[in-house]
This record gives sequence, C-alpha cells and structure tokens, in this order.
Amino acid sequence: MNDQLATWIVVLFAGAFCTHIWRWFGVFFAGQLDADNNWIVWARAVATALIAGIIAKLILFPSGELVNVSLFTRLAATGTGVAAYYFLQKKLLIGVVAGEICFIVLISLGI
Amino acid sequence: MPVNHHEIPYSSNRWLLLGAKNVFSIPALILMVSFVGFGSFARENGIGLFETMLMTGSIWALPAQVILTENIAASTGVLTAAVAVGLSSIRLMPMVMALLPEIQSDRRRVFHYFVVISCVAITIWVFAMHRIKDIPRHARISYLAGFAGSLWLCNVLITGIAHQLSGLVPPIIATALLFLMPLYFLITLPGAARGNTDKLAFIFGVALGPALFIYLPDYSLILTGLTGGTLAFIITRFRKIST
Repeated sequence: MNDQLATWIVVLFAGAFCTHIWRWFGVFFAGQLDADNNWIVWARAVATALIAGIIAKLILFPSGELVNVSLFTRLAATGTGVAAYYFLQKKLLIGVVAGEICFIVLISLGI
Repeated sequence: MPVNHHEIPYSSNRWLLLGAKNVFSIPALILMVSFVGFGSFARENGIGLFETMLMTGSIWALPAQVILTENIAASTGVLTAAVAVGLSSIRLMPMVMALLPEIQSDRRRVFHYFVVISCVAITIWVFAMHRIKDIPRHARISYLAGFAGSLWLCNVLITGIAHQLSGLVPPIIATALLFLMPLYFLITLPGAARGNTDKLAFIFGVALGPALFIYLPDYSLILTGLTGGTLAFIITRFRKIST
C-alpha cells in the first residue's frame, strides 16, 4: 500500500507536475518571449537531445521482451521505417507500417 | 455576446463535436497504437494498471511517460526522475507559445483553454498548426478542445486495456507493439525540430544517449540532454547558422 502511494506521488510530482509546468510557462511567456530567444532555443535543444537519447537507448539497449529480438532486427526495422518515411512522401503511417512489417518478418524468419 | 454574421453560426458544442470527430484520423490512430505499446511497456516494467492509466491521464506526453517508467523500474529516485522528465518536457513550452496566438479569441471559454493547453503534446500540436487555420477563429478553441479532450479520454482507456490484455496477444505482436514507440518517436520528433540547432541536438542525442548509458546509466538521460543540447546550441550559435 505504501509502495503504491509512493508510485502515485512519483507519477504526480516527477511526471505530471514536471510536465505541466512547461505548458503553463508557455502560457505565461506567450507574447512576451520571442521563439528565437536564446534561452528558448537552448531549452528546445536540450529537450530534443534528451528525447533522441531515450529513443536510441530504447532501440540499442531495450528492456523486457525486446531484449530477445536481435540487434540486427531492431536496427534493420528502424532503418526501413525511417527510409520508408523519407522516401515515400513523408507519411507517418507509411514509415511506421513499413518498419513494423520489417520487424515482424525478420522475427518470423528467426533473424 | 456579439454575433458576427459572417461566421458560421454553429454553437460551441457543435464545434466541440466536430473537433472530437478527429479521433478517427490517421495521426490519432497512430498515437493510439503507440499508447497500446505504452500500456504493455509499463506492464513489462512492473507498473500497475491504475498507475499506468494515471500516467497517461495526468502526464499526457509519451516521451515523459516512457522516461518516468524507466526511472521507476530502475528505482533511480524521485529527484532524478523529476529532472529527466522535466528536461524532456521543456519542449512543450515553445509549442504552447507558438500555438496560443493561433487559438486566442475574445470569446472566453476558460475550460476549453484549460483542456487544450493541458493536452498540448506532439500529435495535437502538429494537428493544430496544420489544420486550425481552416476553422473560424472564434471556434478554434472549442474545436481543438473537442479533439484534445476526446483523444485524451480514448488513450487513458486504451492504456488501461492494453495493460490488461498485453499477456493475451501473441508474443510476436506484443513485441512489435513495444517496438512501435521508439519507431514512432524517431519519425515524428525530427518533424517537430525547427532549424539546425534542433537537428544537431537530435543527432548528438542519438549518439550520446547509448554511449553515456553504458558508463553512467542513472544520469545518462539528463547528461545526454544537457551535453547534447548545449553543444548543438553553441555550435550553431558560433557558426552563425540561422536557427
């Protein structure tokens, strides 16, 4: 029970509060700060690098079931999805479906 | 309330409904499938059903949820989790700043504003920036609130259902769903990048994330963000490449 309560607090504080605060800062700063303001550009770069980092981590060092999928399959499916997105009209659906099909086919082949 | 006869005289509830219809669109569908992936991801990392739904409902930003889940699973502590989530969510601030002038009108529907602002995340933001220009200004906030509110509700439910069903689907599908999230991020996030600083930050992040994870697993995310982002910022500023 205590564990559960601790998780709720982590979710509401570390998760919800730390996310929503930026939405409210956005409301506060709208019309006051230029989007090209150095601080905003820097903040966006930090957030972008951090999320790029977690994406790469999820693909290269996954946890759970994905560990059992070979690195080759993970990378090949990622490459296929991204390539399909950029070469076929930049449609998100096409990229995601192509990557997933490649992923499932390679697993089925036991690669 | 002043009536402008040049505008289509729909009620705000009607606009709310018209906005809500967009839950049946491709971007909404892909987001939903990604939340299916998150539901099983959370379960794999030992997060309970209620906590998983609470995450989607209260945070409503998929990268932040994934980061928080990983931090809870690795027991890194509240503060590390808070900093990592906080840094990843900074990007929401400029998104709100860019969106607000597009949806402001003199008609005050405070609750609708609240729904829209609280729900700003990549899918809704991209949708709004592309489509909102076709909606009469007075109706934009209601239209978007309809979409944001219904998308939020659907995904809170979907996360819960996925969490419960993830043991029942064939393993290959379950694994494919787990793989969907990183793939979805990898394709959508560079699309939201603006200018060279963000592109460079993205490349640095991809390179630094796994490298730092090997040596400093606990703080790798925060360090990746601060180092990669700051480097990208300095390099583009120094070389005077426009952002």
